[in-house]
Amino acid sequence: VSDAEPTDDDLVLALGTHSQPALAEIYRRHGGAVWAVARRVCRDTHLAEDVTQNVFVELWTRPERFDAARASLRSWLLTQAHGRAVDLVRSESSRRRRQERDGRMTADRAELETTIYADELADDVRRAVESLPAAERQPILLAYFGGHTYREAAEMLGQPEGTVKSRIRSGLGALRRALEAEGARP
Amino acid sequence: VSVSDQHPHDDLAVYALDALDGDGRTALEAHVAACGACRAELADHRRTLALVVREEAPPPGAWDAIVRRVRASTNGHGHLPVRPTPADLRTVPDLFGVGRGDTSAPGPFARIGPAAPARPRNGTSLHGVSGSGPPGPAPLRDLAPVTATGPPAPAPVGPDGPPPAGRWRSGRTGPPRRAGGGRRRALVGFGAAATVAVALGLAGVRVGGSGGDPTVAEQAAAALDDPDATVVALASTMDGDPAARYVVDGSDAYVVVDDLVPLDGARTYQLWELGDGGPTSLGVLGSGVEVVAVERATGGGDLAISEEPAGGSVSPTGTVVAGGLYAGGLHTG
Repeated sequence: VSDAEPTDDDLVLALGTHSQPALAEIYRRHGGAVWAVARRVCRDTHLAEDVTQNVFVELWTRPERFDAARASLRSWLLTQAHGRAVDLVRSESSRRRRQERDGRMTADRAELETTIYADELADDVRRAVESLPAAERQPILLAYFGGHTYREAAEMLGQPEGTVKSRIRSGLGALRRALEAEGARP
Repeated sequence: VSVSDQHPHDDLAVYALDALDGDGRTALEAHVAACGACRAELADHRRTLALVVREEAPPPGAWDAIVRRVRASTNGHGHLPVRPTPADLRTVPDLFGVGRGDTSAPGPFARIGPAAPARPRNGTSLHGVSGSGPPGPAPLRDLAPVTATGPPAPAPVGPDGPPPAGRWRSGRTGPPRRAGGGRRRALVGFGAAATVAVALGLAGVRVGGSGGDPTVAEQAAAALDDPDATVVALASTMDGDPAARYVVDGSDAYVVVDDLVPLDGARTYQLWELGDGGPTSLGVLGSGVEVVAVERATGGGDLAISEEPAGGSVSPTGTVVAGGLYAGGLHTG
C-alpha cells in the first residue's frame, strides 16, 4: 500500500527512538479521548490536564510498558488515564467522605450522579447505556465516571456488594452488545 | 475466588472500572498476572469502556506542556545541551517519576474550572525575520494532491501554540469519527512506499557537542561563520527566493529561517530529507521564525520544508514550501 498510515503500534515503536513526531501523532489520535476520560472523572480541568500530561509523558518515558499483544494503544491509554484520574479523585474525596459519610451515600445521590453522567455521553453511547436496566447501569456509571468503588456504589444503591459486582459484570456484557448494535466505533 | 478452575469474572468487570479496592484488587491483579484467559476478558471490558468515551478537544496548552516536560526529562541529564528544539527529543530521555498532581483540588462535583493560562512559546530569532514573509499562505507546489478529499483536521487554536490538529470533535453534536486515511497521503514522487521506520526518521541518537551555554541562535551563527560548515540554500517553491538555510557543522545541524510565512500556532514547519527510502524527518521547525537545531542529513539528496500540524508529522502531509539539494559531505557554502 503506497500511502500506508503508520499504525499505533508503529508509532509506539518509533517512541523507542525518541521520535517527537510519533508522540505528536499519538496525541492527535488519542489525546482527545484521554483528556475526555480524565475530565469526566476528575471534574476539574487542572487535575484532568495533569492526568493527560502524565499519561503521555509516561508513554514517552516508558513506551515498553505498552504491550500491543494485550491491548490496543487507545484502550491502554484510556486505562492509564482512568486509573490515574480515579486515584486523584479518591485521595481527595476520601477525606471529605469521612466527614459527610452519612449524607453522601444515598439512592438520591446515586440517581443524580448517574443522570449527569448519562447526559454527558454521545447520543449513540447514551442510547446503549440507557438500554441497560437501572440496576446494571447505575453501578457502572457510578464506578466509571464517579470514581466510586463497588462498595460505595452498593452502599449508595442500598444493595448487597456481591449483587452489585455481578450486575457490573452482566451490565458490561450487555453494554458491549448494545454498543455494537449502535455501531459505536472508537 | 481464585480457584484454578474458576475465574473471577465478577471481579474482572469491577476491576476494569477501577472500582475494586484493597485486598480484592491485590488478589485480582495476582490472578490476572498468571491467567491469560482473564487478561483477555479484562481487555474485552476495557475495549467496551473505550467506546463509551466521547472525545473532546484538550486545552490548547496541554500539548505544549507535554513537550516541555519531555524536554525537561532530557535536560535532566546535565550533560546534554539545552536546546529549545525538537531535535533534543531524540536524545535519551531520563527516567523520572510522574507526578500525581495536586490532590488538594476539588473533588468529583467541583465546578469545571477555566483552562490553564497560556504560556509564552520559547524560541529564538536570529536575524529578526519575524513577520517578514508575505501575508497568507501561497503554496505553489502541493505534493499531496488528494488531501482535499480528506476530512478537515479541526485544530483548537490558542495563543500558546495549541496541540497538534486533533481528530476529536470540538462540538457536542455529530457522530464520533475516526478521521483516517484521508488526511495523510504519500509524498508523491518521493518514494511513496517508504517504510514506516524510514518515514519516522530513525536517525541516530544525537548528542550535541557543546556545553549548553550558547543559545541555538548563537550556535547556528557560529556554524555559519565556520568555513568548514556546509550551508544549503532552501529556496521557496513559490518564487525561488531564499527561504531558509540548512547549516551542517560537524555533527550539528541547524535551520536558519530567512523568509518563511509565519504560521499560526496550529501549524509547524518540518524539515525532511528525501532519500531513496522515502522522506525522513530531520526536525520540527516551529512557526517559521525560530532558529532550530535539527538532525544531520544522512546522505546527499533533496531537502524539503513542509507545513504540518503542530507537533509535526511522521511523514509529510502538507504543502512543501521550500527545498534544496544537500550534496552530502561536499561544501557548497
